[in-house]
Order: sequence, then structure tokens, then C-alpha cells
Amino acid sequence: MLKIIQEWLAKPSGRYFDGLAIFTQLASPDIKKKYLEYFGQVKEEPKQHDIHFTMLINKVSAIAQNVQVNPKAFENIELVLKEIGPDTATLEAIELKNAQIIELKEKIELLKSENEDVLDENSELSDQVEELESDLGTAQGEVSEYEEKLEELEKELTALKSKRGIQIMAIKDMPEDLQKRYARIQEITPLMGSIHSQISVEALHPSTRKKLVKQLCELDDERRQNWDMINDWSEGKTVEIKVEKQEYSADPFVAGAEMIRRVLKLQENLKNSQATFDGADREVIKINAQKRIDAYKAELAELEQKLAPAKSETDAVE
Amino acid sequence: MGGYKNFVLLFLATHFSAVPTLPATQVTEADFVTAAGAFTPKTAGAKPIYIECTPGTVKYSAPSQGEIEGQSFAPAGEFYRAGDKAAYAAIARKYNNTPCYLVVENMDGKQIMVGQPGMECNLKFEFDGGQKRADRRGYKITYGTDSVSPVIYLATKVDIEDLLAES
Repeated sequence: MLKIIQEWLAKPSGRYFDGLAIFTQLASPDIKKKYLEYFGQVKEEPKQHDIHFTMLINKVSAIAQNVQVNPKAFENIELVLKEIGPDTATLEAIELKNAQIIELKEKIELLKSENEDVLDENSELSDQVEELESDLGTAQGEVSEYEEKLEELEKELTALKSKRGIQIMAIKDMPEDLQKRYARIQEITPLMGSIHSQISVEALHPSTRKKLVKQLCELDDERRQNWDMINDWSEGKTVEIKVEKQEYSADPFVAGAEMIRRVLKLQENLKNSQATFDGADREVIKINAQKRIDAYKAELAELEQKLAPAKSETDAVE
Repeated sequence: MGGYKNFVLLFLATHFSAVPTLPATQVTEADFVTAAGAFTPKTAGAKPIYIECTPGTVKYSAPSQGEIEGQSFAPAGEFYRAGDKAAYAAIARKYNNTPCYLVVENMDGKQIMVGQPGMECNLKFEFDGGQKRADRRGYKITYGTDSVSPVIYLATKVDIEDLLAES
């Protein structure tokens, strides 16, 4: 027995499973319990510096020592070396399993990489969502700021209204005559600026300057007069509203077309004045609006009367 | 026939968790000088470094050392690797002052282990580039350790053919 073990120990390379047979048959139960499963993991002949192999050599060396020291303990054991290596079918199964494992590992790697991509994308999207949320928060803050400002302005407006007794109105709410005056102010202002700059030229002849100064004064008077009228109207003072009479062409066809345009314009004016009347909170404004409404209605009735015979003639022809 | 085969195996002490050891109990004469077991790597893949030497340059001797009643052996030797390749210089730099075990093989095929756990072998590398054109250039490596035994044979030899086939 000792000879067999020593022969194996002298040249164990390429004979792992013989060594395993020696270990299985001669190792103590405790040692077997500890190492047999580990040594059994080897399915193919390992290299000489494989950890399993070198540990097996160490254990068999210890067994050889025990056999030498206490040969009686091993007397009744007949040591048999046998091939414990796997058969062809097992080897094929192992190869198949190994191939499957490699394939699965590749799949896992692929999935890992895909997962990383998805995670990256997810984190990018999360960042974007965070950014958008932050933008939204800022925008909401701005909106609430503007709302507060608006509220303040409304309060100020109300205070001004109650304090000064004026009514803030849009240009379209003004009577047609005042709208024209407002437009004239818009024209006059740059003209005055131009005249001012002409006057400032030192080389200008005094007589020319005099003319320009006169013109400037006239424009200034006109502007002041226009503003006074607009201010009077906005403050609710009674203003004489001029509703210009439209003159129509001598040609009946052209006149008809002009009348129709005038009817449409009057209808729009009526609508605006009615809105002013409904929305006004001061009696004077209501009165002025009513005056305009009456004037528009009268002109409208007159025009419709003029247009009526023409319409009946057209119906007769048809 | 004296002398040793022209190779040396270098086992770095830090790469092996267990190495062959002299048995605690000796039954036969051989047990006094035969280390049982194998070099067990700490991690899979760790192997000895095979150093091919210039023929006739591997030397091993074990002179006595110490005083009377305290005598032991000082196994020591040297080997030579001709050439000035960068790889040799790298080995010299890497393993200088590195504790290790050496294995040399005598002409009878017995492998001798130099160094034991706790008394590892120490290497000393020297490079000589020569002077004349006819001179040899290369590395002389001297080694030494202490031991109670003048020589320690390996019970389980390292299979050199397998080792070379693996690398």
C-alpha cells in the first residue's frame, strides 16, 4: 500500500483521479468530510499547479506519513487505484453545459449593457424633468408675481378713479369726432418737434423764424384745444358731439355702395356706444353715449329709408 | 557525477499558501531530508518561474555554520544567465530582496528545495557586461538560506516537462 502511495507521490502529474482514489479510501472521515466535496469538483485532469491537485498531494502526503507511522491502522485495507474520471457521455454533457453557460454569460453581459443604457437614458430624462419642473416653478413664481402686480395696479386704478372722478377709456370708446382729434394730436406732435428744430438753427432769417414761431403757436393751440376736449369728455363734462354728415356721390351706383359702407360703420359705432352706455358708471357718460346712439340711429334710419326704394326695385326686377 | 541541471525553479513565497515540508516524525532515513507535499498556489494560475541557466553554472553547496553545539547548515549557491535582455533585468529588479524557495535538480534527477517556511531563500542578482569582446555578459544570481538539513529533497517532484508545456 505504502509503495503504491509513494509511487503516486513521486509522479502524480496526470494521475489526479488515482490520488483521489487513495484519498477516498484512506483519509480519515473528518478529513474526507472536509475535502472530498472540494476534490470532487474536478471533472477533468487538472494541471500540476492546480490548487485542487496540490492540495490533494498534500493530503496524500499526510496519508503516506500516517501509513508509515501507524501501518497497523491500515492493515485490512486493500488499496485499489481506479479511474474515477468522467465517462464520455458526462464529458459531452459538461461541454454542452459549458457552452450554455458561456451563451448565458454573453446574454447577461448584453442585458447588463442594455440595462446601463436604459438607466443612463432614464437619468437623463429625470434630469430633464427636474429642469422642466424647476422652470415651471420659476414660471409659476413669475405668474404669481405678475398677478400680484396686476392686483396692485387694479387697486391703484380703482383708487385713482374714485379719487379723481375720471373714467379710463380706450380710444375706440371715444366719439368719432374725438378720435379724429386724438389722431390729429398724434400728427401735430412730430410737426411741432420738427419746427422746434428748425427754429434752433442760428443762421435762420428772423422773418422765417417768425413765421415758424407763429405756425408753432397755432399748432400748440390746436393741440391744447384737442386735449382739453378729450379731457373734458373723459371727465364726464358735456361735450358737444359732432356727427359728421356723410356726403354721397352723384352717381347712384357709387352712392349706393357708399351708403351701404356708411350703414355698416354706423352699426359698429352704435354697438360701441351701446357698450360704453352699458359699462359707464357715471351719469354724464351715459348721457353722452345716449346722445351718440340717438344720432347714429337717426342717420341709420335715414339711410335705410333712402336705400329701401332701391331694394324694392331690385326685388321687383328679380 | 556532480553538478546540477541547467535550470532553476523560483517559487515566490507570497504566491504559495503551502510548500513541501520535512515530516515532523521520521520513520525512514529518507524522511530526515525529504519534504512531503506540494507547492500550493494561493490563487489559481500561480506557477513557479522557470529560469534556464548557462550549462555548468548552477551550483549548490551547504557548508556548516555556527559554533559547536549550535551548528547548522547554510545552503547556498549560484547560477548564471547569459545575456542582457530587458526581461532578465526586469526579473533582477522584481525579485531582488524577495523571499522565495528555489528548486534545483541534480544529475540523478533528484530535486532539491532551498528554503523552508520561516527560512526562505534570498536572491542576489549581479550583472556583468564584460570588458573584452570575447567576454561573456549576463547575470550571476547567488542565493542562500539557513537550514538544519544540508539538503532537502522533494518527495513529489515538479514535472518540468508539464511545466514547460503549460507555459
